[in-house]
Amino acid sequence: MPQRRVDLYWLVGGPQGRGVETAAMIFLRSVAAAGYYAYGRREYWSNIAGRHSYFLGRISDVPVWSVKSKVQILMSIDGQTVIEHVRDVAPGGLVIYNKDEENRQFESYTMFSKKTMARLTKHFKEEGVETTVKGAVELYKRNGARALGVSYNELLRKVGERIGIRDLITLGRFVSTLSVALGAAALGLPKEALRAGVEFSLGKRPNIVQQNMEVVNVAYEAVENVFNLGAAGAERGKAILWNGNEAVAVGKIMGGIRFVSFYPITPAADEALFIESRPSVELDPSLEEARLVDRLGVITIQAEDELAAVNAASGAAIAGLRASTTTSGPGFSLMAEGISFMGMAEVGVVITLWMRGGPSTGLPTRTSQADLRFALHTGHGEFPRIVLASGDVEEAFYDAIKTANWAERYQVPVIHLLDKNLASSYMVMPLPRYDDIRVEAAPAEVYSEPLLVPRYDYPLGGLPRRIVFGVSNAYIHLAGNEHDEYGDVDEDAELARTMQEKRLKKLELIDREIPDEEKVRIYGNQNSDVAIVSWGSTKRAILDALDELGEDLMFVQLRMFQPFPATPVREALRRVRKVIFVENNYMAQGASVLREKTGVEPDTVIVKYNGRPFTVDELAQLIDSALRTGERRIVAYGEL
Amino acid sequence: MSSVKVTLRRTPADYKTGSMPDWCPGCGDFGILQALLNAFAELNLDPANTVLVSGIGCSAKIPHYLKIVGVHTLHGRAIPFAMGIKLANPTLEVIVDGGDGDLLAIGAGHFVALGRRNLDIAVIMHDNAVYGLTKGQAGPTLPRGIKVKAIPRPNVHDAVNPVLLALASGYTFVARTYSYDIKHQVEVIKQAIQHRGAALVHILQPCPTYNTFQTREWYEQRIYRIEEEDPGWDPVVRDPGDAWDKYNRAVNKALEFGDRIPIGVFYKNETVPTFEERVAESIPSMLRVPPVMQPIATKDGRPLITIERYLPDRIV
Repeated sequence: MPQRRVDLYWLVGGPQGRGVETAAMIFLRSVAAAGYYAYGRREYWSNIAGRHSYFLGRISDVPVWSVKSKVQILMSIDGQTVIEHVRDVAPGGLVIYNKDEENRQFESYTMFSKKTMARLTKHFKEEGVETTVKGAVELYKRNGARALGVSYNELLRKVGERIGIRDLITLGRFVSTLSVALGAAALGLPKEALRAGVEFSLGKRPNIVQQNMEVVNVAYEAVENVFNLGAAGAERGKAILWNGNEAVAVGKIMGGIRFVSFYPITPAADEALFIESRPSVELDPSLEEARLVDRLGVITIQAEDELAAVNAASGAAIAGLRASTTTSGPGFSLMAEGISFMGMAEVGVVITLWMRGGPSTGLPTRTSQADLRFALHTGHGEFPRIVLASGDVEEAFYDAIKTANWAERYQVPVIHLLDKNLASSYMVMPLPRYDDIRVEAAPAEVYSEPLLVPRYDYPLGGLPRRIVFGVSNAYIHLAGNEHDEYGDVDEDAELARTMQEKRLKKLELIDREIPDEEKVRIYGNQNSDVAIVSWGSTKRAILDALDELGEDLMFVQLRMFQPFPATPVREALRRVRKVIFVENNYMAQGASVLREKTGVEPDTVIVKYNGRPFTVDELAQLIDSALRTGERRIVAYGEL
Repeated sequence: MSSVKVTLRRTPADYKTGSMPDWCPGCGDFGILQALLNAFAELNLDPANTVLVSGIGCSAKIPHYLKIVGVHTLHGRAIPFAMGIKLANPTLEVIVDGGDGDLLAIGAGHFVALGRRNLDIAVIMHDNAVYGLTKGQAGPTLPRGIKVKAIPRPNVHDAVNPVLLALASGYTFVARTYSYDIKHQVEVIKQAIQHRGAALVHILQPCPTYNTFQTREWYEQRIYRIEEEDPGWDPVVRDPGDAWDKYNRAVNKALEFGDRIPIGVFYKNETVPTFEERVAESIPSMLRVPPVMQPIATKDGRPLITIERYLPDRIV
């Protein structure tokens, strides 16, 4: 475990659409400018404006990837944030709130969830405090936290005097900057670091920057330096500030994907929009490749539905372009037939699946890992596919490149399994290592005479020919029907059997060629008699929870589910006495796949299915409980 | 864009594969197949750069009988596949073949979206008003109240008008023809292929097995050529200022479908930018060097960009 000089948890909240995201981005960029690493997970409702939204995050001098359920500093844009997070500040922590809202009743926040309000009302009544912001402040104090109330209106008026704006409503636009500037002041971040945050989030127009820096000045005058963070001492080196959607978008482009189709859906659309917002980028002029085209372009198409999105990507891939589509559960459901077509016609497309809470519309903005079984079985009939689940944003970036290579080489659908927890968690992380990146372009066959080419005439255990339309000088046929070597429809019994064998045999080739370390990764003590097994975005919380517990256990991270690495997984678990499986769903789907593929029966499953990821402290406690009690099934309730 | 430029004139036979069509005797699809063969030969299309994308149904079998690039896809989805292919390489000649059920029932959303995009592809619609391959259910162009051979009760759905829908959706070439009139079909299909933008060729086609209502006789009593009736008929928009007037006339003509059925070109407008041109506004290189021909990595397998180059504002 790296030695942390600084390790601090934070939260900023407010009404959706009123600058919560802006506030969080100012804060993250400012923290980065002060030389720290940072992490911030976004929680929000399916709502344009008004519902309670927040960022939960962490700051450290070493890279951070997870959060705890108690924070040291809570920054609030409104009083509802102060009420909602009444149990979320650690003893000794600090709550900064707007004194002007002190007397507001719960009911005055009109977009308060009825259920949350009822539960909090009960809690406040049991504690004997009034159901107002003031009551919440009283409870923070009882729990050993400090509460610092300042009048936001007073501070904004002071800002107004300095920048020449008198109207309080107009000044209200500075509240997001104010909320985090107050926090930054209490943390003792260098004031100048806030300038980077303001410029990053609000743009570099001098007027805007000057006005917002005046907000920062006022905040620093109003609040004392409590945490004395200062600038990070050690040289951090170059880092990148991005979220999972963006890391995957960049990975796709670096991995040669040149066609991305999508239909608007949370939490996938931001990935496509990020690419669309930078459609073309100038190549390094010294590259030999820059002589043919000086700019790299990526076609992004907003389709009329996910049926069009998946099949347009298929069309681009059929023509020979690296193509991908990105979606979440409901859209992925519509893509099932198109994925089955890819299996039959042997088309390689990367389908990026950002899981969210289901079934149906479910919890559109919350996380889940409930689509593993669906990703494994989407589409009718039997066909080869690759299903890969990334464990964190760094892996997601590299995996976006690898999946692009595999789709082209094996000409199968590649389902890249991610979730909302990765999609909208921002982080300042070290830049990827370029030496680790390979873009393996499969060469196209080119014929000197135009030829009717039997694309599917390949031996058992081989791969179909790679034809590029307009390059190969070949005319080929493809079909979703069973077909002969030329791609022409035929229902002959022997042909049907041998073609099916050829397609499914590709799975064995894929399994042989892709190294085990891509499929399963083992952390910690490999001789431990207890193993934690999990997959996807639980990885970092698990690693940090094991550190927290101080137990030298083994953690087995399953990455590839098709083809499944049965042999190395079975080998890793051979001497293990107790297997604890952790995942974000009700049915313990990953555990059931482990059982199916290896015969290993997990002793305990720790599951969580309320739309929220595991926090480190919650997981540490539940793993500890599993070790002590041997319960078969443990459900996590953490609400943050 | 192959390096070998073939100069010889091709004949219809040059585009034929050895496979024999398995359509019913007298099927209108034979006429459409022959018209495609003739049109391809008259345009001397390069088989390796001509892509025919079909959906599912009797009409969708057509690529297997043609010696060009053929992609036989899913029911209703030929248009999205064709869009991906065309954008991956805009120099390809891309044609969609589909039935009325394929394009106007299960695939209606894509049919409308293609018009909105004005992607430069031609859609050949085989309209026989029934689902032949699943044994004769009512298609979306079968009139209400009609009972054809295999449906248990008279049709309870109204018919959609493909020409009117194409005009409403933004197709910039809209024509109708008849599957037993090879010459007329060839003329119209050639124009549709050569048109710069989304083109619909609506082909009226008897289904001798299942459509016992719209038979050859039924059509031939009603069909007339627009320009024979109206020698001054000029559907071509040459100046954007003419578009409104020509469009109105096309819509009025399209409304005529009953005792008399006009065939011919209803509307043609090349003053609207194509989808490729719209996309290329943000990716200018794609029309100069087709995306499939652009490198995706350096020779030693390195990405063409770094994060520092792509995202300088995110480096902290």
